[in-house]
Amino acid sequence: MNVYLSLIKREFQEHSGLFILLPAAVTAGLILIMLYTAWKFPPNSALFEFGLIELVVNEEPDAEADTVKRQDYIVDFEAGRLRPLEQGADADANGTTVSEIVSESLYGIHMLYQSLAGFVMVFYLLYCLYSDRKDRSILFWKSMPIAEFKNVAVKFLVAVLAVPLIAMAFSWVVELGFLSLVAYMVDKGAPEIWASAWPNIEIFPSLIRQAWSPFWIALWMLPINAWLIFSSALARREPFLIALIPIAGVMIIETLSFGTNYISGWIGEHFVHISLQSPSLPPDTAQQLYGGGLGVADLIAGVVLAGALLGGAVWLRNYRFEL
Amino acid sequence: MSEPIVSLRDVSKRYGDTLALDQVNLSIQPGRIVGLVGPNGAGKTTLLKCLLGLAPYTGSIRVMGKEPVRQRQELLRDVCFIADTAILPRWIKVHQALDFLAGVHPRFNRAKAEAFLKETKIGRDKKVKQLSKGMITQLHLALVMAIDARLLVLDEPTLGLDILYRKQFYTSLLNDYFDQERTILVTTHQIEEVEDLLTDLVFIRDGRLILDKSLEDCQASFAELEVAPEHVDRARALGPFHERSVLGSSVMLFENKSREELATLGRLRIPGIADLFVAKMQQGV
Repeated sequence: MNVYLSLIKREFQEHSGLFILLPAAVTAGLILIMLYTAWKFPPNSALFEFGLIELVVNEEPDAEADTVKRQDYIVDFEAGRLRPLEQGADADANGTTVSEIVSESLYGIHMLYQSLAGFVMVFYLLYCLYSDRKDRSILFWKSMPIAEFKNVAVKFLVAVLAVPLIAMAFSWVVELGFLSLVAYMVDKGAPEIWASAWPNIEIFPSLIRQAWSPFWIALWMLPINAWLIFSSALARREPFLIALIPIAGVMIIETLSFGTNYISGWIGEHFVHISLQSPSLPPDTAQQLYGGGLGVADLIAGVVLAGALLGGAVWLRNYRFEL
Repeated sequence: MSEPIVSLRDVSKRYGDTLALDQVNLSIQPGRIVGLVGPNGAGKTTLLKCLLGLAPYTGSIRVMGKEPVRQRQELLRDVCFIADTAILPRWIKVHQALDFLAGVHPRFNRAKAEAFLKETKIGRDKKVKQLSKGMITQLHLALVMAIDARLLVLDEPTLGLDILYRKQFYTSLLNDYFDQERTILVTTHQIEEVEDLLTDLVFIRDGRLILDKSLEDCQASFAELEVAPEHVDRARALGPFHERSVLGSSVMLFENKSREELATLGRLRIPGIADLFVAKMQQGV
């Protein structure tokens, strides 16, 4: 008998569509798009770039350029061509290299899945402590000798950790599929380009950075996610409105009364912090994009607030007598 | 007399301006099957919710010595309840429900539940929403009967079921579940169906208990008299608490009157629970 395991299983059984089938369907769709693109753009005709950018591979290699050792190819978007970047040259100053395009595509796929996980998380957290009251199945769950603390904790952790981790697993499948396809197409069509770009693509460091991302996001999103689950426990109807109206109301009152935007700024910075400071980004990119914001004190304040909101949700589950 | 399994003292419960329970005192001994009977809005469900820790109250409630709101989790190891047929989650599959109970309830016996289900047509892969109302009740009962609990609380468990399922429900309950160690508290509108099942009768009206007796005591205390036409005035003089007309004859109900004396006024019999219920509900209204 393992209560936590049974509670986790229950969540996956009830929400298998949201947790598994939705990212699986997106994955199947993306793989189909990749296969279609591979079929549409044969290896010797174009550089594969998700079908969005078509760059004609230099079919007549520059004999002179081939004699120098290249560190990568630079994509010249204006000319629609690739040109070799010589060893020792500053890649950043010259433009975007092939390896950077591939790496950023991998990151783009990762962010697509994390956005999907974010959507699932918001939807699930808003309704997880509401729908069982609405259909009265709460009376069945409440007939079990399970502390409400465990129920709320499992639902919250499933949302903030399991959902993004599942999304990440699917994202890795697509990323590796994408990488294999790019490798196959570019290598077939222009082996010298792939030979130069391949050593510069940091696949495993990138995947490991991505693996940290759900934990990072979960930490910074704690107060927001806790607010969502609290709203779910609080709502008598439409948890979405219960979650939105008080925050929007406080922001409007603050702006109208004091002419300041501290609350919206704080909430916004949490999101900015997540999207720009996430370790799934290469560290230098994060530094470039993110120029300040929240510190440890904000993080601690967020954790304390989240704790209070989760405690409130547990209290409501225990003592909310509206059944 | 052993320690009561359920004990309520001066329990009141208010919903806004409405007093749902008014100074209720009740004591239930182990090994009894108690019928809590009352019209709609009488306070039956509220009383059960208070017992199960699902509603706050004033006064004192002890269920197996535990305070239901504060000690709900411990209490639910020994108490099972079926609120009504609608509460099993509709998305869950039968085998998932069995897995879940096996995972969370220390007193759930899966083999026993499987054995109960074997007697039904319920497929293990079916979702609750694919089952008929009767099957959902059978499933819920199988789950509950497989829990080795000391108190079973049933709130209108057969509501909306046809007569076959209702009979089957109570037969299973009596034959396969009940023993002298267990106590059942049941509310129902179809009191005639549980008449043979009950050991104790509790009537509730407007949040107050108006009857709380064992069946034996009821049979000893109450008498129904089909009064001979010539003795109607004499019978009325004895103070019946209810009188009705049946096929032109007067039928009166008496409480704590001498049977010998009543027998001289007409045909005397023990009242049925349904008649007693109607009479008590109309008394003083």
